[in-house]
Amino acid sequence: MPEAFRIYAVVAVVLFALGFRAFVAYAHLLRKVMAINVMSSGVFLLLIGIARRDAEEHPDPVPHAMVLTGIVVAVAISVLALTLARRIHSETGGTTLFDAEEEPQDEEVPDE
Amino acid sequence: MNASVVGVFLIPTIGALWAFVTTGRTRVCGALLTALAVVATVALTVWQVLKEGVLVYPVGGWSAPLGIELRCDGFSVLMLGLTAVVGLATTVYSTVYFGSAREGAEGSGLFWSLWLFLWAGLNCIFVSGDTFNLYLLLEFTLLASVALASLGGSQAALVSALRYLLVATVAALFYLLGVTLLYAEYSTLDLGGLRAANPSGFVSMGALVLIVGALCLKSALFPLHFWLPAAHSTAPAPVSAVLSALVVKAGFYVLVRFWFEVFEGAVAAWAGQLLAALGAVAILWGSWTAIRQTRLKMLIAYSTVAQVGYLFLVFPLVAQSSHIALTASTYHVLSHGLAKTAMFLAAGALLKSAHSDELERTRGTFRKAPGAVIALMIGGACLVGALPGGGAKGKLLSAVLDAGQWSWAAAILAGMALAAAYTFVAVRYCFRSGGDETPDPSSRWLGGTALAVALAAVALSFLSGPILEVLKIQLQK
Repeated sequence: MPEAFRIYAVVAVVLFALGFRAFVAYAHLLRKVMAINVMSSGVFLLLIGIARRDAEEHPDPVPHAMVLTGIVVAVAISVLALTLARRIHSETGGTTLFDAEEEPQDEEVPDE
Repeated sequence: MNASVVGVFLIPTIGALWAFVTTGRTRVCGALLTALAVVATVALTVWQVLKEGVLVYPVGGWSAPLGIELRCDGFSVLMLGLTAVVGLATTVYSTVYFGSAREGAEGSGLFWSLWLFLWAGLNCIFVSGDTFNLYLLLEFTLLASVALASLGGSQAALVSALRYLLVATVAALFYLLGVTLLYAEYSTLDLGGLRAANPSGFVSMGALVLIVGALCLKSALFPLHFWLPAAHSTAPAPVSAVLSALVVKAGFYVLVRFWFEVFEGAVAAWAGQLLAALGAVAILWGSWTAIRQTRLKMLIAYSTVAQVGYLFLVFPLVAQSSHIALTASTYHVLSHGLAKTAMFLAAGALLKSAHSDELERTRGTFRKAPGAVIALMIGGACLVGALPGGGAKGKLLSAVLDAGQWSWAAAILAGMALAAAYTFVAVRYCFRSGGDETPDPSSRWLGGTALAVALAAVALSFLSGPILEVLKIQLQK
């Protein structure tokens, strides 16, 4: 196994673990979204490293395609998460998931 | 004509795009037409699978391992059928729920587009045969589900939707890491290819742990269920129905594909027992919490947590016969899907009629929306296991007893008794007098739709024979 792949793999797993730890530890919504992106970077780095694992002439293109698709997915998820976070901030003035009222109000039933 | 397998998710996508650019009555009509077209396509696919066996369709003509293969076997067919029935009922229900259909359902905004995208994503999950494709579809379904759940508009709805988005994305990243490890070992993303490679060894088991953990969060197995009650109870009623009946089951479907097929025979027995233990705790704790709720939709949401626990009791049975385990769990998925849809749709009708989600405020609703209350009772009875709609519990019980797993049988029986208790708690105020007496035609109509779904749940019992036959249509390796 080439040495470079070993480094990529270890760094990737460390990034994943650090991202997960940050996701669990911080309550601020922006930090949670960034933590998710760091975790994704970890997985993508592992995929890139896998592409060259056999040390052949050409790298394996399938993991590259997976990374590109994964980046698009991560962007979409981040956009939705940030939009919801902005909306929560404008409604409650807070930046965590615990700032809203405890008791859920009645659902706003649409009237005819 | 294997292309019908593509149609089951292409048609709702086109319908969703149409719903995005239109408004008013055009939009509602387009959504209804799309729903009917999807049901017709699913029926065509079911007929083809019954006639020809498993359908395999390499997308773009590129077959595995380079391309993505769509495969539709007996299990896929049943899930597609459940989605079609629930989807059609929810679409019809939503035309009235969000405001008069004649005026174009003014209050619905992006609901139609998001709902049709969600339907497309779910249908594609059930026919996809590629692990990375499943990751994309799980995220796609998640995006649609979260946006739909946030349509409730209240602060609680926004918070619970964002919580759902964040934890489910983290779970999906765990799943992706597992898929990456499997790819690193076996150089294939195809489910069939992975199964043929017989995964075993340290890296594969690590991948299994990651994938199973991720999918347990997506199927809301205790203790990873924490996101579900808030998200499902604050969403609009038709959205809650779809989330509880279908989206949670999509996670379970992918888990079954991995556990029963890809890692067939390689999973240790204690792993199945661990999942069954968590399922048993889910049943008991979820049902107990449901009994103590004061809001109807929270009660039904905790009922979902409990019912999902039943699905995980079949994992210890895999060692003896994966077919029996699959049959029992699939039948339960179908029965719970229909019963839970009926209950949530009925809850929506009661919400409209009583203008409140609190159980105490549902006094007198039996006179205003009898269909809804009866649907709630029938749905609850199906979950209790009372015949003729409760065949799923009986099948689970007999499968578990046949395998000699006495402790899980005790959990099933306790869960059935607790389900009877929370069904009673759900409807006990509806028969009392008091409350607003003005008649409400729309909630009557909504209650009628819920009742139709509840009767479908009962009718499922009479189809148990054909369902078993359909499940036997599998890809033989």
